[in-house]
Amino acid sequence: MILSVEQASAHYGKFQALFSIDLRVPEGQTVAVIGANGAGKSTLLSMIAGLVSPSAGRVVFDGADLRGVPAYQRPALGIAMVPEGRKLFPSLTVRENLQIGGYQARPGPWNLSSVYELFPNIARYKDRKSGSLSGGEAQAVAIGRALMSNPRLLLLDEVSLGLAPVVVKALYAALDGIKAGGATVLLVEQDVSQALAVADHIYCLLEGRAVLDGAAAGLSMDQVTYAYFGATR
Amino acid sequence: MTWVHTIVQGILLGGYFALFATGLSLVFGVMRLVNLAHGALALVAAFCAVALVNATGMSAWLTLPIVLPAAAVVGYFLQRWLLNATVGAGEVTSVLVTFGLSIIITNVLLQVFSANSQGLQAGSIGTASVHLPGGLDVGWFDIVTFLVAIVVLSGLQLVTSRTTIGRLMRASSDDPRTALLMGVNTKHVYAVATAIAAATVALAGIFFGMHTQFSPTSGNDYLLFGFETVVIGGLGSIWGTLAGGVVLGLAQTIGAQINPADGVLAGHLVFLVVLVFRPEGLFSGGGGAVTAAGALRAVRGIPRSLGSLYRAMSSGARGGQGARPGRAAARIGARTEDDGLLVRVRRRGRGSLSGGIAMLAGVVVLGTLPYAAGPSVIFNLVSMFVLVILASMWNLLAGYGGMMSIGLQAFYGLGGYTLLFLSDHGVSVWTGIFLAALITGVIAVPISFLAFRLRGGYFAIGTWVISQAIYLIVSQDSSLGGGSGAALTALSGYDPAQRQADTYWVALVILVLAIGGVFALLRGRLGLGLTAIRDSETAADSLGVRVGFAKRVAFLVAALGCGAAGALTLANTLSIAPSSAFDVTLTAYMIFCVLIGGLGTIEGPIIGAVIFFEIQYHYSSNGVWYLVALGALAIVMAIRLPQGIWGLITARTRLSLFPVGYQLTAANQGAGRRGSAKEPAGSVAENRN
Repeated sequence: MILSVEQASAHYGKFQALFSIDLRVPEGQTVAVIGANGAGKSTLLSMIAGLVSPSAGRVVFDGADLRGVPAYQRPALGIAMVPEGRKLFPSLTVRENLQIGGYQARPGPWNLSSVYELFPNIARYKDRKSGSLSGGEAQAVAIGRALMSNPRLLLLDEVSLGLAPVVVKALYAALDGIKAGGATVLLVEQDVSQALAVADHIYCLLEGRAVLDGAAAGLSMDQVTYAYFGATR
Repeated sequence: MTWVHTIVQGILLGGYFALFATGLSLVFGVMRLVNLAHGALALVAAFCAVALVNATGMSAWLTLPIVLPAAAVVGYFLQRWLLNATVGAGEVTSVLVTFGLSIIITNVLLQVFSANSQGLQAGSIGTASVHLPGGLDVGWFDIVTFLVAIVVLSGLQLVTSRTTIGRLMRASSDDPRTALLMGVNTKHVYAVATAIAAATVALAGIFFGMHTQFSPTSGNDYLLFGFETVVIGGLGSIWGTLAGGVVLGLAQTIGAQINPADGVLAGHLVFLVVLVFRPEGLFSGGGGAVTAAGALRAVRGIPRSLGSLYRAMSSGARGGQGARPGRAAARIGARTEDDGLLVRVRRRGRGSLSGGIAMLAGVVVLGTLPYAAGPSVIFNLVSMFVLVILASMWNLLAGYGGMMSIGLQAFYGLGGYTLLFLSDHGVSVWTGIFLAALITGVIAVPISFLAFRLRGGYFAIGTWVISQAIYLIVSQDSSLGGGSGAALTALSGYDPAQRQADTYWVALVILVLAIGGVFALLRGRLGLGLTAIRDSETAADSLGVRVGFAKRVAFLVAALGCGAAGALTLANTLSIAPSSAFDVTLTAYMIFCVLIGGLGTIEGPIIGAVIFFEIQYHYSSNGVWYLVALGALAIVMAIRLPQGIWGLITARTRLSLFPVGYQLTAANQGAGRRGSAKEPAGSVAENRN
C-alpha cells in the first residue's frame, strides 16, 4: 500500500470539507476519486500533497505518517501533484517550468528528454512562455512538470477540466507510459466515464464523505449515479 | 560649461540611486513586499562601516567584504524570522511591520551613534578626478559607483534569468502555492531574495556614505530616492532602474544648480510629474516578469473577494428585500420571510444605545472641564483630542478605504501653516481653524489625483514623497518663518486661561464633528463602497462601486480632519516649525494608535489614541528607547493582534458603539429569539469592519 488515508477530516476555518475519509492506494494501481463540485475531491488531494493539514486522522505514505511534513518536502519523498487548473508559472518558459518540477527530483526515468518524448508537442514550445500555451498544451506541461520529480505517487487533479474530449483522450493515452515509468496514479475526475475507463478502483465522495468505493469493473452505473448525486434519477 | 558639468554629475548620481532601488524592486517583484525599512538597512550598513573604520582604522573600502556578507545574512534571517509572517497577510501588515522596523532601526542608530553627521572616506580615489577636454572634471569615485551599479544590475539580471535560484524566485513570484507543490521552499527563496536586496542596499549605503555625509535619519531620504527611482524607471527592467536613477540624479543636480537648497525638491517634483504623465514609469519594459506576475496576482484575488462582496451585498439586500444595501438603513428591524426563515436585520449592536447616551454624557462632561481642571490638563487634553482626530483619519483611509498613507502629516502641516497665514492676514484664529481645515481639504483635491496613481505600499511611499515636497517648499518660504518656524502672535493679547478654554472648546467641537462625520460617512452607501474597495478594488469597480469617487471623498475628509488637527495644534502650542509639522513620526503615531485600538473600527482609534497618549505622557521622557519599544509593539500588534484591543473586546462581547454594519439574526420561532444565523451575521460584520 503506497498511500493510505486513515479517518482523515479537513476544515477550512469552521467549515468542514472532509469527514473521516478512508482511502487506500495499492502500489501500481490506478485509483480514481469522483464526485460532484464541492464534494471535497481537491481538498483530499491537497491534503495528500500537504497544502491542507488534516484536522483529524492521518495520511500515511509508504508506511510513514506525513504529519508535520511540509508540502515542499513531499516531492522528494515521491509525491507529485498536477494541480487543478494546471497552474503553470506563466512568466517561465515551458522548459523552465519543467526544470522547477525537477528541482527536488528523485532518481528515475523522467527528465527533460523523456518528458519531451512522452509529449512530443511540448518539445516544440520549450522556449515559449508557458502563459501563451493552449489548455491542452498547458495540461501536458503540467503533467510533465510533475513527472520531472520522478514521483512514486502522481496526483492528477481534474486533468480533463475545460479541455476538448479529443485532447483529454490524448492526455489519458499518456497514462500507460506514466505507469510504465513506475508511478502509481491517484486521480480526481468529474467525468465519471473517463474515471471508470482508466481506474482499477473508484472512490466516490459526496459532500465530504466517502459514500461508495469498489473495483471499477464491479460498480454499476446506477450505484455510481446514486453516490455521485446522493439521489436516484 | 557649468551646465555640462552639472549634467555629467547628475548622470553619475544616478548610479547611487540605482543601487538604492535595486533591492527595493527585487523584493517587490518576488514577494510584492514594499520594504519601508529599505533605506534604514542601507544606513545600518553605513554605520557599521563607520564603526569598523573607527575601531580598526581600516580603509572604508575594506569594510565592504565584511559588511556586505553580514548584511546578506541579516537580510536572510530578517525575512525568515519576521517578514515571512507578513507575506500573504496583506499589504497593511507588510507596510506596518516594515515601517515599525525602520523606526526601530533609526532610533537604535540615534542612540548608538547620536544624531551627528558621519562620513566615510573613500581614500585617494575619493578626491581624484578625470580631466576631460574643455576643463571638465569628473570624480573617479562617481565613475566607479556608476560602473558598480551597472555590474550589480547586470549581475542580478543574470541571476534571475539564468540560475536555479533565479528561476525559483520567478516561480515563487508567479504562484507561491504551486511552487510549494513542486518542492520549492518559498520561505527560503524569499529569504534569499531579501539577502540579495540587503547586500545591494548595504553596498548603496556605504558608497553613498563615501559620497555624502549621513545621519541616523537619512534612511528616509534613501528610501524615497530608491522608491522614486523605481517608479520613474518603471518596474520590470533593470535598465529602467538605471535610467530612473539617472533621471532623478539629473533632476537633483540641475535643481541644485538653479538654487542650492532645491536639489531634493526638484527630484520630488520630477517624480510627481512622471506620476502624472506616465505612472507606469518612463522606461518600463512592459512585459517584464515582475509586472506580469503582479497583474496576474491581482486578477487571481478577484474570485475570493467577489465571493465575500457578494455575501455582503446579498445579506444586506435580503434584509431590505432586494433594496440597495444603503437603503436597508431605513429598515432597521425589518422582518422578512426568506426560505421560511424569519430574518431580522439590525444596525444597532449590543450597547449601541446605552453607549451612545454615555458618549453624549461624556461630551457634556468634557465640555465643562475648563471650569474644573487646571491649564496643563486642558493643554494635554487638546493634544489628546488632536491625536484622536489624526488616528481616526488614518483609520478612515487605511481601515476602511484600504489606502495606507504615510503622508498625512502633509495635511497636518498644511492646516497649521494655513492658520498661520490666515492669522497673519487678519483672520480671527477661531474662524481660521475651520477655514484652514477647509482650505487643506481643497488643496487635497489635486494631491489626490497624484496619489491615486499608486496603490498599496507604493501609495504609502508616494504620499510620503508628496508630504516631503510640501515640507521643502514651506520650509523655504521666509514669509512663513522658513526652516526655523514662526509663532502665532494673534493670540498673545488674550488672557491665557481664557485662550486655553476657548481652544479646548473648539477642539472638542472639531473632535465631535470628526468622529461624527466619519461615522455618518461609513454608515451610508459610501461606507459600504469603501469597505469593498479595501477588500478588492477591482471587484468593487466591476460591481459598480464608484471607486475613484469613494476613495477621493475619504481622502478629502482625512485631509480636512488632519488640517483641523494641525491648526488646533498651532492654536494650542502657539508655534509651528516645518520639521515638526511635517514630521513622518506623526503618521507613525497615528498608526500606533490605530494598531493598538483596532484597525477598521471607529472605536479602535479613539481607544488607541487615549492609551497611546497615556503611554506617551508617562514614557516619552525615555527618549529613543521609547520609540524603539513602540516600533516593536507595532510589529507585534500587526502580526499577532491585527484586530487590536477593540477587536478583542467585540469578539467577546459583540459590543458596538458605532454600528456601521448590518446584523442578521434568525428568528425561527418568533421575534427576539436568536437562532442559527450566527454565520451570516459574522460574515457581514467581517465585511464591514
